[in-house]
Amino acid sequence: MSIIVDAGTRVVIQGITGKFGSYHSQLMRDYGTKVVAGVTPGKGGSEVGGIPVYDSIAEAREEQGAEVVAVLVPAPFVKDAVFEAVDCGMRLIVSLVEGVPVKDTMLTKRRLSESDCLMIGPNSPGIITPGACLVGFMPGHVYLPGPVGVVSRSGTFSYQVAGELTRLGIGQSTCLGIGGDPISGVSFEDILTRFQADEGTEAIVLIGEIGRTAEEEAAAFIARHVSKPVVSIILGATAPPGKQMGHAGAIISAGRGTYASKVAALEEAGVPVARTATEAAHMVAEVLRRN
Amino acid sequence: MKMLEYQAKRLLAEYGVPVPKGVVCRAEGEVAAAWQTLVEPGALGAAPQGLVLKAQVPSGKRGKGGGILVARSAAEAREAVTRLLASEVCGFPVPEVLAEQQLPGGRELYLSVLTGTAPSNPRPVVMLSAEGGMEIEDLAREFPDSINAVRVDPAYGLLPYQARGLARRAGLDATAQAQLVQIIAAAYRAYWESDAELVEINPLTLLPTGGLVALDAKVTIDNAARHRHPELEGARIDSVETRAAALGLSYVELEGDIGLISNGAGLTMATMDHLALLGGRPANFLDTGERVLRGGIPDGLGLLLANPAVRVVLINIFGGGVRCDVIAERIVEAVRALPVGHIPIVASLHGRNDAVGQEMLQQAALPRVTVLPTIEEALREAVRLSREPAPEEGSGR
Repeated sequence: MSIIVDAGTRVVIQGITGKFGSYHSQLMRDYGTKVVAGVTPGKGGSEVGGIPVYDSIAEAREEQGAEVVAVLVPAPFVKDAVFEAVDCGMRLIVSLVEGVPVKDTMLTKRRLSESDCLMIGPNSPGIITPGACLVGFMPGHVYLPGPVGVVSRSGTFSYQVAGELTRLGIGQSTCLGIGGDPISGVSFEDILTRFQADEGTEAIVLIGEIGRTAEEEAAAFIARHVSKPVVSIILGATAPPGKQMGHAGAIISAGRGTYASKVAALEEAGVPVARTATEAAHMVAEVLRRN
Repeated sequence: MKMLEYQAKRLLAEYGVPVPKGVVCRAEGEVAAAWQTLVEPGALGAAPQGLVLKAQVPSGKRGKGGGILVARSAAEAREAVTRLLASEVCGFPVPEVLAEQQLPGGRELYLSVLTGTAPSNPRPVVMLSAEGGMEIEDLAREFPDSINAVRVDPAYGLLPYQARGLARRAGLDATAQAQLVQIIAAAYRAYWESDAELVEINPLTLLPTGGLVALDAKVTIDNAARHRHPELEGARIDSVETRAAALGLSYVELEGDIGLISNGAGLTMATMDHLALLGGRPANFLDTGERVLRGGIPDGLGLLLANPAVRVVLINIFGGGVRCDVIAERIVEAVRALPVGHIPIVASLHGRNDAVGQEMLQQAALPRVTVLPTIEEALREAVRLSREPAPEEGSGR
């Protein structure tokens, strides 16, 4: 079992004729994802590695039954791409692009609030249900099907955590990154709700980082609504205040978003906080053994 | 991008926010003309008392840092500008001084528009406080009841009733209150149309003559939206951080001796934290981001080698979209091209094509480069090397 994507998920790549789009659409297809179409305005009727290209999302949906959009267009065009996908009634948007203006994401979230469409990202590494479906950048071979759900603000570090779990023989139900921007589509809470409801998920790993207050809010949510065991790790224990650490959202400002505040909130919610990827994986092994 | 005070005020003035009359001086000779236009009798209706000379640096603490001086005569003004231009304020050189009319003091308010990032409902927030002149964090602590905020629906923008509602609670007379409504609306439009993260007017001062004026202003523009605003200028900060940013790298200098190159903000922070747990001291945060396949490795290595505190370099890459074999090629090229000298380099490559990448690095047999199979081993080795005694002077680097 899994959340959000599975072996039946039909994906369209927005921006498939770009260098990034064509490269990643092949990797996703190689992993087994049903990449059924691509969209680049003006290039309808062509093909990229055997994948049919359409001028619009509406056509890709009608002709190929696409329901999930992976957004790989340049950042200035992401807002338009996402609005098009929402207006066409797509079920899920995975926005993989870094550097989207915050105002655009704010307007996008406003539009999403009027629909049932879910958006992961922007600046997300994507989502993977191991052995079934990859929509994003994850290196497929480090993942293994199994009972652990992973939700993260970081990309590459979440690959490392999945790799450590796999090394211990512990597989994953679904892993996804909510994105490193100041504003994200799906929140930790949206994902925790789904993992809690998913029969295939027995334990959850939450990977947070300094800046914003998403982890504090997630901790409060876990205390009230999540009965499955959660293990967490917070990145940036050694990050100095007032400096942006790569992600636009990773900055301690005016004393908010500190490592200590997040750890305290999680521990108060009964969530153990690991210090390294290896330690997190061993904590997960331990909670699975106890269950 | 942080705008300097005069840039922020110029922007706000375009939207109709009243600001003091001022002139930017880049040389001491320019202040005499400023005195003449701004202070000489007849220069304006309400006679200003003198000039305020403000160092244009991107720091909110410049008042305390000696960056704001007052002059009562043309000679004093000249002396103050000379002093400021030659000084460093809050760690920044001062290439520009804003000479402004000193206006008579009065009640101070606080006004800001910022992007509220509550995950469930991110919206622009307009905040007004009937108290002003101190930092918002201090206001929130000392006068929590003075602060009122409205959240704006980004699809419709700030509505007039919202601005009126805020202004009503500032305790002003009818004329000033009507002016405040206009200023709130102008600040919101400046925020929205410039893709700002923050517009802050503090203090917004009520002059004895009755009008409101923005005595200080801060504007920060969303870097991701810079391409939409070629007309906007910000502070040009010359630091290793901004030089790295120009190369497409996120870099923050720290106090340790282990130079670090990694890909992805989370992985880079995780590596720093882990090094600290092992007793090591990272010299920097360096996230190559998507530059990892292009200039990220050579440019990053160049930056680290320029830092005399660095005693060992750790390259920790986890390839998601990017392939480790390509990364290995980049490392080999960079190490061969750069003056690595006696600095040891530890590499850890994981993710897509990791076995091939590790093998290629081993095969290259670079004398200073160690490749280790697990991240933990690589980090331990970097910490160990950082503690080795430094080689003799003159061994070359």
